[in-house]
Amino acid sequence: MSNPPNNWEAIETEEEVIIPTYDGKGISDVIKVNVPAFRDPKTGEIYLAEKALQILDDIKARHMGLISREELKLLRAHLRCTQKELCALLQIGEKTWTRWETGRERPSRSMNLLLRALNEGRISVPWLLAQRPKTKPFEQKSGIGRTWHVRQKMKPEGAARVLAR
Amino acid sequence: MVAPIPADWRHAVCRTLSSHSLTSILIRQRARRDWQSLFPGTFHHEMVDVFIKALRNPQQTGRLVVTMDEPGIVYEFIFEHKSRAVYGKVNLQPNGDVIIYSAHRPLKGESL
Repeated sequence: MSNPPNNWEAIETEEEVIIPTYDGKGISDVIKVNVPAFRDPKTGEIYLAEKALQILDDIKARHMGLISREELKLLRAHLRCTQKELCALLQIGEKTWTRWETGRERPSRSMNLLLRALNEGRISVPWLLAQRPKTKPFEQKSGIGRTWHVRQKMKPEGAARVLAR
Repeated sequence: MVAPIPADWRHAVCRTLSSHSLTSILIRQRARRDWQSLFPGTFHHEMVDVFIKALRNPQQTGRLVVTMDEPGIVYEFIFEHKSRAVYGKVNLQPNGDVIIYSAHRPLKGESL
């Protein structure tokens, strides 16, 4: 939590979370949420910090149908891949998965569909591996070869589960 | 006086905002609400990204604000995002933390 001036009071405030329509141009819903905040007693101004912003963004993401940070962590644990390996599998930037897990960035709606499909077993790691570009620079840069290697090293039950998908 | 915002200030603010940890960033409630009204589909990290982008521009002009209560150096400035002018006001505190006071449509036309 950031350090507000000493005389600011810790309070709880009601904030609105606007849920956009699919095209992002309209508003589909407005949800009211109580979040922790700070109030400057002199001016009455209210300030939001880390915790409040995360709560608001998580609620927004959930109502937009985006896969949650917790679901992403569980999915990664289930697949027994590192964040970097998953980035290679999904052909996304090297640190993108990290940013998703920490809430510093959210998957796009289209990427969210792919993640949901992976999470629900509708597509598999082998299928994703089969989609990888064949160019050498990508393989070297992304470490995708290591992903395959790690998957081969999985415990039998883990590998069976992944391969069964 | 409106002038290019000093590079030291811009770089220090961008450094804090770029951490994206939100451990050193406070956003005033009004700024959050205004931003959400302007760009309802966006998350807070996107708001922070937009400020970083604006302040990485060496040509970004602004005006020093000396009326805020909190310690630190405050600049107000106008930048563009998604073809809309946005008024921003940011405080760089002595410890490097950042307060975003404002993020709304310019209220006095498109100049400071």
